Amino acid sequence: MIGPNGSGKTTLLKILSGGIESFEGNVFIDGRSATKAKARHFSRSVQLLEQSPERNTVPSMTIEENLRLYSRNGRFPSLSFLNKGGTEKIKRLLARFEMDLESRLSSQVGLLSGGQKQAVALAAVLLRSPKVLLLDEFLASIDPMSAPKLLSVVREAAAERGITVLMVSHDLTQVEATGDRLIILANGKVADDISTEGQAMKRSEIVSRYSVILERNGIL
Amino acid sequence: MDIGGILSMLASVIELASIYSLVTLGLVFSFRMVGFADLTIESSFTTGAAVYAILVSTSSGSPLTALIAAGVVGMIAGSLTALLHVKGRISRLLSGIIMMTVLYSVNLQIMGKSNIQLVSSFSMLDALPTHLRPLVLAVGAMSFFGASLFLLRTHLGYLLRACGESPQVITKLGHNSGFLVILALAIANGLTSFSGAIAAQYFGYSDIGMSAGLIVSAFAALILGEAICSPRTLHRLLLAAFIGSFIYRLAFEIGLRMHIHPWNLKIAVGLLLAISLVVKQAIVKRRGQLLVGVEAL
Repeated sequence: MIGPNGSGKTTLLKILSGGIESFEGNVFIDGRSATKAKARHFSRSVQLLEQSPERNTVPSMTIEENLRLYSRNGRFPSLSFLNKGGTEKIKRLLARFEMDLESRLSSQVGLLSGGQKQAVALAAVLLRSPKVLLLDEFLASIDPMSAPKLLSVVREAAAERGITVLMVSHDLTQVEATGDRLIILANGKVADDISTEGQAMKRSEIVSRYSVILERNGIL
Repeated sequence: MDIGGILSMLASVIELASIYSLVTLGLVFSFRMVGFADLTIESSFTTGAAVYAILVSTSSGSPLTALIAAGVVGMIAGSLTALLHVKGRISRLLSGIIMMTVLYSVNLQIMGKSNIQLVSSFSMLDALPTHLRPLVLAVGAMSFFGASLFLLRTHLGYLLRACGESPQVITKLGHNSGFLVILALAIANGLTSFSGAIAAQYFGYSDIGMSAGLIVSAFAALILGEAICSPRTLHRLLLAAFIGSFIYRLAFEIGLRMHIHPWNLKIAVGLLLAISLVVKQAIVKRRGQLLVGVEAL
């Protein structure tokens, strides 16, 4: 999903993730209305990852503590530190990112690089097995080396587990490489909805259609 | 000073530090976990002392029941402060100031006068041989620290830690950060009030002014401990609160023995706090460390 500033991208993601409760309309997940659902229910099926790592993970907690924080859906308190069985699962998951995170489970997340922080955040939400993953400029402020790796983990996980991914991005390279559907928002409305049916989207086509919408809305 | 004098001073340092360390432990929950600079403790300490004193002096209540009652009343006071903030949308600092002020009158109402002497009442501490008292109090305090470490390593504890630092994560996990703030303040003021009740038992009286300046001294103890321990992990944060309480009390006692004029004691405490803060910041910056907990103040 792309769109100019103020077009409503973040607002839409907040509504979809249960962060905004008063809005017109309805949200359906798997055909069931989610608007009346409790925050707890929302948090099981929809996960939102944001640009700022501090909004996704707790900086002073270690990689392992952050993952354990996310890994539990149920009621508290549970004795997280007694449950050593999950460590192997956590390590396997982290190994996918090829950032050597699995050997640094006791490092504080706040001391990692931007890309590593977001990798931990992504691993954390995957542990919750969401049905829908919302990415709000998730890769916007991380180094160009890490971004493709994270993107490929998202793609693999989505394919393996059947997760629906809705990504908001300003980076047309990422858009071009990722989606099978492109939604362009303008002034709070869907201005264009392009389905690519498995074909990779051409950057030039995206740019031209986007420009038309911007012009029509008096932005360009 | 002779050996006997030093030993008796150390014994009283251990006793007082153990009692007041529970207030410092409370700060770990309110200041460091959920990031709430809670001023309620300035009065809820006396509330604990007042509840204890009135229960053991007027009714036939046992000291143990009175201690538990004091803790519970403190938890209620803390919850009310948190509710003012969470439900009433009053700022954290003002919520604390309001409750601190209200509790002053409540404390007077509980006691019915400004001072209750407990000379004739039975006290559990008096039942102990004098040489065992420091040990019993220290072990008692340690058990509270141990229980806190246990709690903070459960999933609920993880949520408390996340609540102050990254409240958005709490929302993402489908939990209510308001509830966590209420819980943290209930624990903090429960501990403080309990500590006040033990103090009343220890000193043999409850007085309306007994907690004046408590927040500064508890905060100084915490920062002093943190400057020494650099709390990069949860264990070290609790250790800092514990050790800080002892070093602070030792410094205070030494100050008294060095005949610092009582008028100037608050200057000394203020200086100690300022120096600890500067040292802590310098160490953290130089080592590039990331400390556990929020800087609520």
